[in-house]
Amino acid sequence: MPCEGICKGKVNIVLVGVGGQGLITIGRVLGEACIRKGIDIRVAETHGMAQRGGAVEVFVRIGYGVKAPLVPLGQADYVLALEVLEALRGVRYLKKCGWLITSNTLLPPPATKNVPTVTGIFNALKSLPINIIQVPVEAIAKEVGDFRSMNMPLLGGLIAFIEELLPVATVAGVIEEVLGFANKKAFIMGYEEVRKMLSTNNFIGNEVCIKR
Amino acid sequence: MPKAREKHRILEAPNTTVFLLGNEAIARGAIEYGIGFAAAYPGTPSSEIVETLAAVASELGIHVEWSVNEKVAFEGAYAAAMSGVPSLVAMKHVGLNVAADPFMTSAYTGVEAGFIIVSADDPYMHSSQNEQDNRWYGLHAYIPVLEPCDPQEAKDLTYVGLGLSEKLHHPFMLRSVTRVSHVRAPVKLGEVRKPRVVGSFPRNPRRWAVIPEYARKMKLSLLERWKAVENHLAHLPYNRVEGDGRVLIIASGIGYTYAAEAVEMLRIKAKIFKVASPVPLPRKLVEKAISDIEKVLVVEECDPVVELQVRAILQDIGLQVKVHGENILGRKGELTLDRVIEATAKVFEVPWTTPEVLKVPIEPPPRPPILCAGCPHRATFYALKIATKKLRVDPIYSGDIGCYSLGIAPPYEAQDVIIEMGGSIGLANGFAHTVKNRPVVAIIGDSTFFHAGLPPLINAVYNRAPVLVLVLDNETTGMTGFQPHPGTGVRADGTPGKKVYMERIAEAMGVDYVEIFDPYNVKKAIEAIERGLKVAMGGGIAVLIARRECSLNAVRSGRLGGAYQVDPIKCKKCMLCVNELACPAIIVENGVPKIMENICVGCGVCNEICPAKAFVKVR
Repeated sequence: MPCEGICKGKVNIVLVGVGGQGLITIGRVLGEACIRKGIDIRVAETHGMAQRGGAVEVFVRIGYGVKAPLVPLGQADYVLALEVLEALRGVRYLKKCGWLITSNTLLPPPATKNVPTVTGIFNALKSLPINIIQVPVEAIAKEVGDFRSMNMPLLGGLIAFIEELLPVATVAGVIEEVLGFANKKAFIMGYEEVRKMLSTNNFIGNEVCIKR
Repeated sequence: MPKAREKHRILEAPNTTVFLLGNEAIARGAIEYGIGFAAAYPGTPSSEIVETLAAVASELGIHVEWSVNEKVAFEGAYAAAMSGVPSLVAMKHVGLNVAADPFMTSAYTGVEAGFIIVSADDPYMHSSQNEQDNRWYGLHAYIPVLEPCDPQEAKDLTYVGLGLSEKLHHPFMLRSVTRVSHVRAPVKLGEVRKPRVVGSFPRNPRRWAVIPEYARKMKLSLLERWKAVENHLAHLPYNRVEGDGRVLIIASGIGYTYAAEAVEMLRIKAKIFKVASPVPLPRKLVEKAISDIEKVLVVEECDPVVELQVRAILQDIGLQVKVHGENILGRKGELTLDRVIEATAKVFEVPWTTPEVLKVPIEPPPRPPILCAGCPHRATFYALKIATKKLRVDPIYSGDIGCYSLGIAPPYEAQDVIIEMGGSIGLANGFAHTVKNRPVVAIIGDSTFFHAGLPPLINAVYNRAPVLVLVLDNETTGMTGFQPHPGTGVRADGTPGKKVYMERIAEAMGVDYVEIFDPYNVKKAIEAIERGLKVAMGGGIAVLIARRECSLNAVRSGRLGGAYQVDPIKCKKCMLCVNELACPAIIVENGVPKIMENICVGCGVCNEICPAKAFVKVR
């Protein structure tokens, strides 16, 4: 096999959540930041029917030479999940030992029976050969005083991983300009929280991946 | 988000690179060319083209409108181009079916100024009823098709297409797909020419009136122009050959992006013929690319439009080369990198193992799209269910295209058939005469009613087709992103037009019974629907208008707000609210309904239907 998964130098990210949670906003912030750094990017969005409270996927590909807009199954470096049931659904995009950056929010589909619990979901995820970071998005959103900014701490968490490519200051600048100060604060808090978690090994890392 | 405070970013200076949605890039291409007229009917994935143009229409001094349907939009833009004003018309793929009548004949007359028809196709049917490949329409109508591979090319080819259209006096089509229209990418902007907004129309019926005598002559000149079109497309720089090798990949539109990355990932030597004009496929370029080639792989999204032309050309020149494409890639759904890599590896006979997909031990419950919290359609569907129960009838629910299509899901189950825009009333005209033992209820939205609901309603009145037409009027075009329509009285650029009242239209048509109700008042809604059903069951035609603003718009504008909570002492745990409303704000916790306050918008429909009135407004 000449190349395992996507070629090096390209970062593949899949954002998953429920329509209305602000996934498209994350994609737009990343795009603006990439333009400021002269990096190529493709963001494929979900509009229309699928947006009405349904499961939503946004594909982000960053790096020199990206052309195709979609990330294939099993080939994402990062999956950002704004909701935990969608994390369960979205993890199929993640490559082996990739990072799942997720919230703790559970939004059960209406009138659905046998919805798994948050603990049940994380137990299932832990059994997979992946790394998991749980970002306390609700606590951060509460602290900045804006429920709608729950998407920003996750973006902060992602930047903690790819800041060599996209510096945190560039992304923070974009957010402050287009989304305002509260969102920037939520972003920075998410970024710092995840950096702290990584430096103190406060994440769920599957044994298979640690050995690698 | 990034709506620049002073200047719309679609008007940024030349040579700047802006992060644009494919549809915004198409709008920019048209602005750069200097169009003076644009029209559309909204439809995913095409809506943002004219939405973007509308936002800057007054600044540019051009005419931009949401037309009542795609045919009217097409005719408006076509006439503009006849009069010497360059124009754009945009629609989703199925919209072109509505506009097909003038589309087919526009190639006969041709145009005076540049005229581009944008068709945004929806492979995989993310938000559509079929995945028709509109490049066929180009072959059918003698209208050339340009197919961009990404947002940058979408902008460039819009400009180029308008230019060729003007030069050759012939309409051009731009075929986009979901993953071009709804992909954001850096786009480098070009110079903007001054818009041409004023036209003239010297009397010349030999050129513009297709009576048989004139049309026969036009057909001859059309065939001549078709040859000229192919010659010009052979020189289009967006059609190009890259790399070298004994296997040729012919990749059209978005297919190119996947093919180029597949070749890179497989580290193979390949010759890629990147196609930007699939119709007509320039024969000269195929002949040139095919020399010394052992086999061919055609990569295109949906149908084998390019592949069939390639096969025809190869047969014509007597070349025995194996052509792959549809036989490996199929003709359904979207292309993906995986699909194209696998196909390429197979044709090139190189090893490739698709990365393993992680298997999660528990399956998440499905999450289909649903009616939003506070959606007035939810209350109407509930009232409809109760009214039919009270009258002990089981109607045929003839459905339509819009948010209310979601009424197909439980617990509402009130969309028995959905075909196309306006089909609810059209099909009712048949069911009413053939299924005698059940009443027919046609369910249609406000924007859809204006789009294609009027002729079938006149037909029902005239030919006596007993039907209850339920218009779910949320005072906007909801599913596509809240565009105004004649019933709102607001125009695309936000300026006032004149409001058209559907109740007055229905009365003027001679509908037997017309009534308006507010679905949030559930009791009155049930009574109104009962009255309407009785009219239809008695052989009459009834139009009921369930009028209540879309809750998303109402919340945004502050006309709706607050939240309810369940009083656990009053609640009898009958679960009526949970089971019959399926509101995303209501969940069950420890056997008791609970409202998620950050999702609830305070519509109060749950309390309306609660036998114990156990909901209290807390904000």
